[in-house]
Amino acid sequence: MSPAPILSAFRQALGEAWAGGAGALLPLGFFAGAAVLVPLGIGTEPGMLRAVGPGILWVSLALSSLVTLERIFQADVEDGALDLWLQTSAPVSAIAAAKTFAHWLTAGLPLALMSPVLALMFQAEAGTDLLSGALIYGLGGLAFFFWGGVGAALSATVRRGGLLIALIALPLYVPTAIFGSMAMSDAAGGDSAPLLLVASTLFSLALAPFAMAAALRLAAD
Amino acid sequence: MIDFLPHLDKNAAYIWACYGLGLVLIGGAVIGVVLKARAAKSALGRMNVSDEDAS
Amino acid sequence: MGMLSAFANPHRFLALSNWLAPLFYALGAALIGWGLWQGLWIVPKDEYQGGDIMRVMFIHVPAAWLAMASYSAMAVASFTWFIWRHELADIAAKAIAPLGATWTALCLATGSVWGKPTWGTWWQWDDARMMSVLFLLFLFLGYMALRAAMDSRQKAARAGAILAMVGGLNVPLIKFSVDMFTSLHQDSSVITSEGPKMAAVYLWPLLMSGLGHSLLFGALVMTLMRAEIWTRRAARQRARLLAGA
Repeated sequence: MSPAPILSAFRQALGEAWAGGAGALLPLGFFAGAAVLVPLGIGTEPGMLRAVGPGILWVSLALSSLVTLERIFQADVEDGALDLWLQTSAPVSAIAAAKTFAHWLTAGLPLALMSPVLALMFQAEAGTDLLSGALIYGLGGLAFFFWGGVGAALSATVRRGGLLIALIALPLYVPTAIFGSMAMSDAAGGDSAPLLLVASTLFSLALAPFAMAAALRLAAD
Repeated sequence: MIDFLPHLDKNAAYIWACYGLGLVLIGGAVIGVVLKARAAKSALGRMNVSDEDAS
Repeated sequence: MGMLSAFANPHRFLALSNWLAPLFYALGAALIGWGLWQGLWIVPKDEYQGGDIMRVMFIHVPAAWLAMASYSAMAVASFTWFIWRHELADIAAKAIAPLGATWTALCLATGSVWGKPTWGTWWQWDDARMMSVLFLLFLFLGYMALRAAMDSRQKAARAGAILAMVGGLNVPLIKFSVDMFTSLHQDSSVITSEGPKMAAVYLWPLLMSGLGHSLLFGALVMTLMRAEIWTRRAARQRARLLAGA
């Protein structure tokens, strides 16, 4: 089994995200825009913003992951790339995982890296917590993208399947959203929450690729 | 005449609302399912007039 | 073993459900009726639980049980189809979904109405079970929407099975995370009148109501499955006629 198809799928996904020009910047813009509009909407009182900031960032991260998911597999179904991958000896789950990981690298990781800036705008205290926060958003984002990928793969043959993807992904996002926001808060659950977030992300990394593979085989038929 | 109805306290409206929801949703499900089954059976019957399998 | 073949063989299933479904309808209705009579007229009201409003539990709690149980049943049916490809298993999963969604919606609606006089709000984010049931509704709706979006029955079966299994594996995680989330807040739900602590006068109507709802649900699933079997047969007949012509 050669890793070539997996690597080429990875490289292709990376290329697609940037080649689209504004494609990879869209989730960034969404993230920033949503996070900036919220204080305008709910008021600027610092204590409140500090309290709701992490939650708002998680919601923005989840929604912006959904924004880009619709096309991730649909283009491959349409142009026959999917059929090519199915013919290689590489496991489809690995190819799906590579594509999803590349997608996260271009649309999820930048959001996590931006999170300290946004956290500061939400009146968070400057300090190392912001860095650990970026790590938490990174891990949580990974889970969002992998579960979202399952929705995207299942909806790959559906015209304008964005809403369907969101409906499928929403319940799957819940544990990450809960553990993630608990990890960011000082409340009682804050100690075990990061570990639970890691665990639930690993769970998604372990399960989602196989579900995506089964769904992609279905889409190719 | 309505004495057979139970005498409920101040929250009677909420209680009746809940059971009313149950009646509507469950009753609606029963009616919908039974009608769907009847329609499917007669459609099959029309498809194949002498179909003994539609038991 | 003979009974089990009714689950693999549509003929035998039709023969079995022909008498079993009406029996379940009758038994289910009777038990629900008895539970209603007890719940609304006979059992004493409990001021600690808020007075008469706790009578709502006789419809809300069975609905919650069915919401959870029916999703598990749908996941098991999907898994069975995925492994053994018995068409009946897929037909069962397809039938359970809209009915499960109905009881789930009923649980949410009655829970909300119960909550208004109890907590003062129509929705309580701190109630772990209501949150879990809300996500269960999304899982059901997503399943139905996905199946409907597929081009063919076979694709709908495959897509549905994948989603039901992924969802099924996630349900414990979702419940766990929701429990953690709500346990952070002090007041637990007043609607925890379950468990061995409950007096027998409440427990029996509750259990019988639950059984009655389950039987009625089973009858409805069987009826929908029968409808689906007939629909598929008609479609095959039509296809054969068109091919022959």
